Amino acid sequence: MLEDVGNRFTAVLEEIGETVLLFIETLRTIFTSGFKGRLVLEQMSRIGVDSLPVALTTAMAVGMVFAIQVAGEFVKFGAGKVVGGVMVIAVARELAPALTGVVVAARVGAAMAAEIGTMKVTQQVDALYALGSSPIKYLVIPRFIATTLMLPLLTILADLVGFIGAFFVATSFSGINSIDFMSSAEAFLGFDDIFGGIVKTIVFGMLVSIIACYKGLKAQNGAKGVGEATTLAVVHSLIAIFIFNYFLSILFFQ
Amino acid sequence: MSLINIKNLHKSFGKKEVLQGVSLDVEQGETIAIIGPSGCGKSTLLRILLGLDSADSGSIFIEGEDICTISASAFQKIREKIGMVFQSSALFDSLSVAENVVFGLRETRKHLSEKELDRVASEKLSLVGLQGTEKLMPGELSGGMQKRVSLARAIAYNPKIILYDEPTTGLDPLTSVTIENLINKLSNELKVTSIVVTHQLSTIFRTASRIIMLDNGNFVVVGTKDDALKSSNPVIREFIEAGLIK
Repeated sequence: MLEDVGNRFTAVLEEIGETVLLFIETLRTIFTSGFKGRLVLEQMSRIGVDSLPVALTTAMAVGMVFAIQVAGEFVKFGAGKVVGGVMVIAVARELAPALTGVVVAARVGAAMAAEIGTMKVTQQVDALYALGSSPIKYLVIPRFIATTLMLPLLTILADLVGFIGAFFVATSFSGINSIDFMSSAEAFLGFDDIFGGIVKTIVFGMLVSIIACYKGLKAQNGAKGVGEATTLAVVHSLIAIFIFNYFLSILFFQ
Repeated sequence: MSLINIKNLHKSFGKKEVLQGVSLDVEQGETIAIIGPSGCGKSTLLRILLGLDSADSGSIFIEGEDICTISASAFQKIREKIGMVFQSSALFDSLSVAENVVFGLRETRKHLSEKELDRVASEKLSLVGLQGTEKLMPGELSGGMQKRVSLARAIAYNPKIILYDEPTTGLDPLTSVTIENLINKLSNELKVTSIVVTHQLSTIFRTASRIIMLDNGNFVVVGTKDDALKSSNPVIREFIEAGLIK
């Protein structure tokens, strides 16, 4: 029993260590050998443009739902004038960064792990080595750069769309004056709020891409192994996002 | 001096020692078949030769250089002397046939123009009888055609050594003969040294100039096809008889 727990703990530590090593090796290779611009652009299109509809729909829905919950309660306590400020801070600091990270982890992380995992079990990753390339240069770096760049851009748009959703619901259904909403939003929102949220998503982009690529490169045992790698890539990415989100929130906003 | 000189090579996975100090000399132009039951370490030996796995101890000299101890950059130069045909073909399914064939050249010989790369792709595909397939995707090819594209990709560097991992496993008998003829053709025309890992008797007998069996982590030198058929070694007899019955 105790031995089992010990073995699992060792395996988790080993996996975290290997993921960190992949991250370091990825950064080292970017700075020493550069990257393939064409592959990065391809991935930026797949990660950014193709994730746009789901990311914006999520941001809009969350902004609207959050406005329903918050605006009604604030009006009851006579604090309707600060709803805009509370909404905009919540969206910029937490909701848009975390939920866009979650959406990208689910959509993009899964796709990355499945694609690289399939290449691994069909020996295509071995073939990369055999032909003088490297999986880090050909597979990991384009995905790492593209996710790290596109997640903040998606988050900026999600900030905007989430705010519009909140504004629409608060002013149309909760009796909040639109001028009060906008003026409190302007008074509450600072550059640090947006900056902190964006920096968070840069970290989330790195986490999602490195974890997904690591899981893909470690896949084995055929289709079953690829399925497990894909599931674990999403689960571990989400856990990592939530843990890092907590500490980054303390760092930027406390 | 032998082209490939393997000395006292050991490799274990956990508690299982699949290579227990194997040694082998391979002369230039030879086609060696390494046979043995599944999981006995045949493919592991190829992976070590290609640098995909590392040996626990021992050495492998290729043209006098020990690939077990040289630096990664030095090994890259050695790797260009080796072509590999993977068991599953391992074609990049997002790239066309021509892009697959010249993938390695595009990665390592950046001075080559697109026109030159196209010429190399067409030339190598013609050698394996697949001219006109340049723009097709791997998913549009049959299993046998994929193996031939894999072979064209393996010879794109004009390697001195080609490693074949189960080149005919899973193919129908006629397609197997086509691949076996191609192995012989490349051996004769390009004068390459081939190491064929297989348990297909037809491939062993049609291609190999020397047959070596891997049994319990050790090499049992069998010799030629005739030596194999006449062997009194019970392990070899059992392997051949099982293959003939099949």
